[in-house]
Amino acid sequence: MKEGLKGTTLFEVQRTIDEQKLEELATALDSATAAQTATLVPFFGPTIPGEALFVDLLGIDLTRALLAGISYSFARPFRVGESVNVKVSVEDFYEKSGMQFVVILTEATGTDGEAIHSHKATFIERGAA
Amino acid sequence: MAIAETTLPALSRQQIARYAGAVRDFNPIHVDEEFAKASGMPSAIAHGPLTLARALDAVVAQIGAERIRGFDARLKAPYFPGQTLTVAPVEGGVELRDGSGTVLATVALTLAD
Repeated sequence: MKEGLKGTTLFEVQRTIDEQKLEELATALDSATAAQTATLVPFFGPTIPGEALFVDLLGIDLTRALLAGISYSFARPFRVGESVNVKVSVEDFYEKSGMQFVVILTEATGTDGEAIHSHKATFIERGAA
Repeated sequence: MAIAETTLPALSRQQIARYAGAVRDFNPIHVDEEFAKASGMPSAIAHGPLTLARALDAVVAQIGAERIRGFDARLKAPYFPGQTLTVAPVEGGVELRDGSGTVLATVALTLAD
């Protein structure tokens, strides 16, 4: 994993909370309340626009990487049709016990700057065998 | 906090594939059996966020989406297709367990008043 990226913005994109995307998430959840839950679940973040870009930017070796945790903060559910600005940045990077940790912060704000959603994902890359 | 223990049906590979498509996360450890095995897993595994989304769904089913403000999860073990998911209340949040009783994650919940 690349070092020295702490504090940098990896990418910033605009996304629309469209009905089809929410339906895709709801279908994956496959429950009676899935449509409601889909308005909380982000479909963006370290995977936009495709995990390959994220992996390339951080130089992650997928065979040694794992997700250690995610912390979601919700100001409110997403609304169908709204546009959100999505900013993905490296909040922290550190090494511990021979492993590298990176904390990726994803923030979704409305076009007027309203904070809607954020989440922090902690990825670990284990040391090479 | 009044979250009652809930057990969700077994996770299917179709759900993993659908989630991968929805979020465009095709990390091969989720969708490629051989890659997963080469990475030391017995099979492909669910995306961590999918595991958490299922747990979130169990909470939403009980209190609705509007009241949930924070969902802070530490992942402890991989979640495999074919396994149920039990969401059980613990101090400050919920614990996620698969059908064998393995703790998959602990989640601190923050709810609006």
